[in-house]
Amino acid sequence: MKEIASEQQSWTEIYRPRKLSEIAGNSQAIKQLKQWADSWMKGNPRKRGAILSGPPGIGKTSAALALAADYEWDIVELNASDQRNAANIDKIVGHGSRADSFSSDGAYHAASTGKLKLIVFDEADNLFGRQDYGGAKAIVQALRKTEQPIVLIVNDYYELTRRASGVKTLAQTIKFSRPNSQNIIAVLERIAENEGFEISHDFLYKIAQNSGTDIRAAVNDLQSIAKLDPEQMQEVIENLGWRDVQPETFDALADIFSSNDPIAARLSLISLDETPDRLILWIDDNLPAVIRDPEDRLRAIDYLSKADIYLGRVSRKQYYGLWSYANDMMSMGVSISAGDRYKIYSDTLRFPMYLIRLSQTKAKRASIKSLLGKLALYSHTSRPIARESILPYLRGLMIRDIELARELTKEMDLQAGDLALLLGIDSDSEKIESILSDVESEAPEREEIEEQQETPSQDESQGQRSLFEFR
Amino acid sequence: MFQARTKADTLKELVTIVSTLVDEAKFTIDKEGISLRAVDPAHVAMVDLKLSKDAFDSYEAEDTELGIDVAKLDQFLRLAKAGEPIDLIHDEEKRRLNVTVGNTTKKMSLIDTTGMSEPKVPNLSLPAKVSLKIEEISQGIKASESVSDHIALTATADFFEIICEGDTDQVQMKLSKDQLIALDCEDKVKSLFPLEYFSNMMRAVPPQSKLDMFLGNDYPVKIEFNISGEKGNVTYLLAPRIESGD
Repeated sequence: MKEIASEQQSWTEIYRPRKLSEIAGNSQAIKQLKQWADSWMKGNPRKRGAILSGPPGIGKTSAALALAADYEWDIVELNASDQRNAANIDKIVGHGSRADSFSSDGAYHAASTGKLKLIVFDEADNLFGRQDYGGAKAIVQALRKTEQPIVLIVNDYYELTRRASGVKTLAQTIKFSRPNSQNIIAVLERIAENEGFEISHDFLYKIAQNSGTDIRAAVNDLQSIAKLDPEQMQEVIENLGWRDVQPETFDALADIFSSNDPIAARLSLISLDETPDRLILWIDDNLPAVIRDPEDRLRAIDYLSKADIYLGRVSRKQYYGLWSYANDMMSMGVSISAGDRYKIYSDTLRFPMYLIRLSQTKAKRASIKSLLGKLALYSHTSRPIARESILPYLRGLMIRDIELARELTKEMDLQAGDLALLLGIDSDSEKIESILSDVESEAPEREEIEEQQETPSQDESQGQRSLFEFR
Repeated sequence: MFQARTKADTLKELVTIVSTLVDEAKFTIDKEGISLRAVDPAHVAMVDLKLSKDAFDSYEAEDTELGIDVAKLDQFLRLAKAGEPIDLIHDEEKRRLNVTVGNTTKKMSLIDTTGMSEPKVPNLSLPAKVSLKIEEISQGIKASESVSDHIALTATADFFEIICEGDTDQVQMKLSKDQLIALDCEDKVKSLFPLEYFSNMMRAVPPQSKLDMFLGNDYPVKIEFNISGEKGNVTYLLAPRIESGD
């Protein structure tokens, strides 16, 4: 019976650590997590939430579940498969975090007696699709008011804090790092022993190596070969594909700024799933904060500038082969300049300001573009020329001459947003409203005619016949 | 095997009571009737429901468990008029529940129940007992809804009281002992509850029902009432709100 169960069920679930002491590696993170939990047992702590951040498959969710088990807390999970829009988060995290709880086996947990409820928000960096609209804001609000511990689990710390920067002050960040292969081998050995099959240490070592420090991947690999006889096992293990580990941007930056190993820095930079023109922003933005010595900094920036020259050539000549030189300059060059003289911590590094600004000004840039498009069409020029030699003069003219503004609004079909940009005032100001309403009241006849013309064709296209046709 | 026929209102009552707390639920079915126990997704409230086979016009069943999307069922049942008969047939082969209202049949896929927990009703010592008609309390709750998101229930030897305190306004509803059906309380007890849950639960109680409310100090409230005459009974449990020092 047991055999059947373990065949069908995934070992990663069966052998998920039940206690914090069973988590592989990460002793520092576990210690921090315990301290945070202890602070809850002494009353409401200042940091009501904890962000467990780190690459996938290394035991973040397991640690959260094990924490609840160790402290005998109730647990409520919100997974990526649940709908996580503002309303739903508010219901489960909002209301749920301010009341006592009944566990799923029906036991009553009174917070006043230390029986808390751990709210686990899995993949919290991943809730920003259309369906999860407003989710980020709801999380921040819940953290502010919660009376129960909340854990946010993220792969990408920056993605979460960029969208919901409030969490930084409300939650404690606990960084989980990849376990080493010894940690993984220990886990695999425990499982093999439990399942009662023989496997040599060499094989386990290979699986561990191959998993690229992803415990979940290693356990899955072990399960997939467990039923084979030794010879087949040998063959499969030799042919196991290398899992390509994607280090986070953070890890790559750490390698560049503080490893003193230019080759490692280069390797971890190029294994990132990012283009060099974005990576250079990361390095450029963080470099002054990390490299403190002026001479080191000068040398590092010099290398960075050379990388930038290559990037410029890439975009001019469209010759992407030059990317590799840009990569080398920005990784190895900066690494050589920095040596091992600088330490970096999880909160030293920040998301590039340039990218943040770009996303903040996206709407504004789009509306400028739309206005310039209309100007360019009207005056038979290109957008850049419309911007340089028409926009400033037209602005001056239109501010003084309201009649002209009205006339042009009609001619170019300007909207409230366009007018706001042109006149340099708010789009809901009275002046704009009066211009638009004047223009509208002048043009009703034309609109009506257009409507009448359109009506019959619409009916045809819908295939719905009028009852009056049959009279 | 499960096959039953009942009046629409019986089933509507039951589904409303359950769907107030959960979208999906596991119904346990045996020869004597239907039962269900569930904890809501935020683990704040619990429902324990039993409905005897006598509440049905016809009832034939062997032991089984049905995982039902009650939100979906609730929506379908809105089509039925109060006294209209409803047929329920469990299609074991296709793992569906066929619900027939009038000439319309909805074949509803059942939900896998293996992952669903089976909570036990916890043993709580609740010293105060208040019995009253649902109509007595609903006015006070409605008045509270716009005021705050929590509500205090208090019982003393002489009266039962609802207080809802917002930032600017306050709602108070006091029922003295002679306005209640029964009041059994020695020392004063008071607990604070999330209003949204409490009001939704009260709204699910069928009209004219007699409620037994059991209260303690900063402790859950237990609410018991009968459905379908005396042929079924429901227990709601609601966890108190945490009153913190800050």
